[in-house]
Amino acid sequence: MADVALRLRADPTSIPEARHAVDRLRGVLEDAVLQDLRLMVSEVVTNSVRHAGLGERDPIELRISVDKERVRVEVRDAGPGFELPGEPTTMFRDSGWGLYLVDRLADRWGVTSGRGTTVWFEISR
Amino acid sequence: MSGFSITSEIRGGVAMVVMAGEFDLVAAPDADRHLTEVECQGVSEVVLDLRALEFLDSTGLRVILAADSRARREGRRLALVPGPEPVHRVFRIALLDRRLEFVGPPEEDTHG
Repeated sequence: MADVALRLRADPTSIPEARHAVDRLRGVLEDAVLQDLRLMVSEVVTNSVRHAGLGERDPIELRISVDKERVRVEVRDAGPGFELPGEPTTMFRDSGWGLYLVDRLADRWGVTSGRGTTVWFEISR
Repeated sequence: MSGFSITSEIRGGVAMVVMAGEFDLVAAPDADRHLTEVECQGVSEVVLDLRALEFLDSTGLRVILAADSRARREGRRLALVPGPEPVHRVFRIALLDRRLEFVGPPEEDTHG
């Protein structure tokens, strides 16, 4: 139905850029959904920028796809990925906060590794 | 593209800190530096006014939590004037709306 695809630099300025790209779905999605998407996109792109060990030339790819029932977001980078925090107490620490918020807001989310790392999540619209 | 700004005014040992715009990783270093500088002025209370914030994520939240930890450790009061819904929602989701002290807007504003 609607898609957003963006290639970003591994640089902090990519975080607002990714977040503002969510606004392209204004009119397609309700404001409350857009608000949560902005937050989750900000968190996942921040993780890539901070933790992926990327050079500035390694791109971060953001893809948002919308169908009748849900919104799916994928953020892919060339980094080696990370261990998922296992204990709730670990999730409250430092960078775990971002994933904690994603976990609270998303219906489903996960990480796939292969060539690079993709963090994805889905929410109902 | 609204960026971020942080300004403060100190009066009678109370620092009123006004944050505006989008508080994320881009803003975090400035915000953190500004807050630590304000704390060095020997204030007994820091009030963070979040009403002009348009966005907050966990990176901004961590800067605020760090200021709260320093305040508790150093015996200072840290209070927050809540921001608009997208900003306050982050505190609620993180279950921090009760751990941090939220207060009403400063009086001078309510008298116009």
